[in-house]
Amino acid sequence: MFLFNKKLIMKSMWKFYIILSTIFLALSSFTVKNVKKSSPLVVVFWQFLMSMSLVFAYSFMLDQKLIFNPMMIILGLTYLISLSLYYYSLKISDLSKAAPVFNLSSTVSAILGIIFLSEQINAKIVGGIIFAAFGIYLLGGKK
Amino acid sequence: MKWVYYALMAMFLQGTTIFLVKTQLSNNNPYSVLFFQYIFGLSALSSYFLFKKENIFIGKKNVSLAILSGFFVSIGLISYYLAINETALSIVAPVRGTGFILLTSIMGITILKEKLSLKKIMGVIFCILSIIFLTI
Repeated sequence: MFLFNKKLIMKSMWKFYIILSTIFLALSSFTVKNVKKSSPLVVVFWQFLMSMSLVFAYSFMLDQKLIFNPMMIILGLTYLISLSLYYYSLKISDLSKAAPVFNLSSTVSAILGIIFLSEQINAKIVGGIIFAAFGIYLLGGKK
Repeated sequence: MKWVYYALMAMFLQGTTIFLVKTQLSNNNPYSVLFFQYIFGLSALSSYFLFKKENIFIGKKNVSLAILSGFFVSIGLISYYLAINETALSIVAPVRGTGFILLTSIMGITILKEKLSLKKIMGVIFCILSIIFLTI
């Protein structure tokens, strides 16, 4: 019984991680929005410096080996560019406008997952993409 | 409307990055992926600042806020990568999307006193609906 519960808990651990991730990433966006009169790239610099040190500390504490792969160079650059563009849009717009558009990156990831990782596709997914397009139009249009 | 182009480009790049992260997690741990991602991002950024001779000291308050956001991002992203590592990308990504839209919109409107129009409400509802459709 205990083993069954443990298995069940382990199976749904991703839900806990997602809640944690959502709260902390939202807090981060909110904090960045409060940084006044400075280049978004400088904000990204300080953010990266802090995060990198902490991720190193977490990996050390949890005894996780840091293994390099050349693909991570591309990952680092695409992440840097996407975050900088997002912070530029945050600087010249409202948090409640820019964040939802940026957040639709989850749709892009889902589509790429379906195409290249052979994840399932159905009518709901197509419906979701149409709703996403409407959402972007409404949040991006003039008031 | 300039912000829309920045946000859309950021959206596509971020979406692709997360997909590439998923492909990397099959033979590596989330800590490695995130750590090296930061190393190379930071190297590119430092080179840019050296080349442009840009001042990175933006005042105590702003640096503190940026560092605090770095603390939030480190926990947020490592949790996200751990979740991606455990289940399908087409499930995890939209679930996080819904929560993120809800939280940031609520914080923007309640704490930052951003204007709330009918269009904005409808936009947020459509975004949430899209993610619910993709998730359930």
